Amino acid sequence: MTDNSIQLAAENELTAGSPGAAYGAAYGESRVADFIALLKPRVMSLVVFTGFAGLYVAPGQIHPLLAAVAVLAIAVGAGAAGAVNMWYDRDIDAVMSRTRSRPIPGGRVQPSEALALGVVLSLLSVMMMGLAVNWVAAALLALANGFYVFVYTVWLKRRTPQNIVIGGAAGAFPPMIGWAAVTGSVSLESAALFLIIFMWTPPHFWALALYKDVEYAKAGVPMLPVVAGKAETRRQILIYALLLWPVTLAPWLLGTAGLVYGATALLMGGLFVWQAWRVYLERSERSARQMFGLSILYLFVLFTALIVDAGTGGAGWSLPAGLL
Amino acid sequence: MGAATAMNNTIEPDERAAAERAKRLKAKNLTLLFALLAFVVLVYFVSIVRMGGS
Repeated sequence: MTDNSIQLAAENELTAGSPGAAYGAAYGESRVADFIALLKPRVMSLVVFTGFAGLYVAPGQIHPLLAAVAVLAIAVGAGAAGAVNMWYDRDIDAVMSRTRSRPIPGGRVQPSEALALGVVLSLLSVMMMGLAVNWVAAALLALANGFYVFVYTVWLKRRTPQNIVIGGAAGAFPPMIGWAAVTGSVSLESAALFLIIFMWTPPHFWALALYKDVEYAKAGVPMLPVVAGKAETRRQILIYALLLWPVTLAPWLLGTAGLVYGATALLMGGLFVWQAWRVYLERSERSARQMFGLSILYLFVLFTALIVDAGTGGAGWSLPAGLL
Repeated sequence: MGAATAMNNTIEPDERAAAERAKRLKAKNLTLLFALLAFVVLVYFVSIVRMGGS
C-alpha cells in the first residue's frame, strides 16, 4: 500500500462512521479504574520521574512536604492534560487498535466527563503548585499543559509530521518545573534538562510509528513514516540520536552532574546511536521495536544517573568552570 | 404462570445490572470522598509549613 492510498483509506474510515462515531457511555457504567486510565498513568510515571530528577538535582533547599506537593502537582497536571487529550482524540482513538479500548472509545466514560476531569485537575494542579510551592513552577506547569493540549493535540497532531518534534516540548517541561520548584527560576542548567527530553522525543515516537504506521494512517495522523516514508524516518531517527548524544552531556559540562552521569550519558548515548544505526541498516520491525524499548530505558537510566550523581555529591569530578 | 416466569427472567438481569451500577457508583463516591479528604489534609499541612516561614 502506498503512502497516498494509506491516507485515502484513513480518510474513508474516519468519515464513514467508524467505531469512534458512537461513544455514549450509559450512566453508571464507568469504574474508578476508567478515570485513572484517563490520566495515562504509564506516561505519567516517566513525567513524574523526570520532574523529580529536576527537583532533586536543583541547587537550593525545599521542605520535603512542598517537594512532594510539587511532584504531585506535576503528576496531576500531566494526567489532566492526558484526559483532555483523550477527550479530543476520541475519534482517532477508536480507529487505532492500540487505543481502541481506552475509556471513551470503549464506551465506559462519557466524553464530557473526561473533559471535566481534565480541566478541573489541570486548574487544581496549577493552583496547588502556585500556592504551595511558587508561581514560576506553576506558570511552567500551566504552559506545559496548555502546550500539550492546544499546540500538540489540537493544532499539530493531525496537521504535520513535525507534530511530535514541536509538540514534544510539552513532555520536556517536567524537569524544568521540578528545578523551578526549588530555585524559583529558569536557568541554563534546567534548559539543558529540557533539551534532553525535547531531542529524545522524536526518535522515541518515530521508532513506534515505524511499526504502527498503518494504524496512524488509518486514523489520519500524519506521522513521519506515513507522510515521508519509512526510509526517511529511519534517517531522521539516526540524525536525532546523533544530535541527542552531545546534548545529554550538557548537565555534566554545566556542572549539574559529575562523572557518574557523564560516563552513563556517554555510554548510553553510544548504545542509542548504535541501535539507531541498526534501525537504519536492518530496516526491520524488530529493530524498530528494540529502538522504542531502548529509548524508554535510555531516558530512565540517564535521569537515574543524574539523581544518583546528585545524591553522591556529583562523584567528585566535573569539567573546570573556566572551560565553558 | 408461564408469563410470570418469563417476566422474572427479564427482571433478574435488570436487577443484577442495577445492583452492579449501584456498586460502581458507591466505589466512585467513596474514592471522591477519600480524594477530597486527602486534599483537605494536604492543604492543612501545607499551610502549616508555609506559615512556619519555609
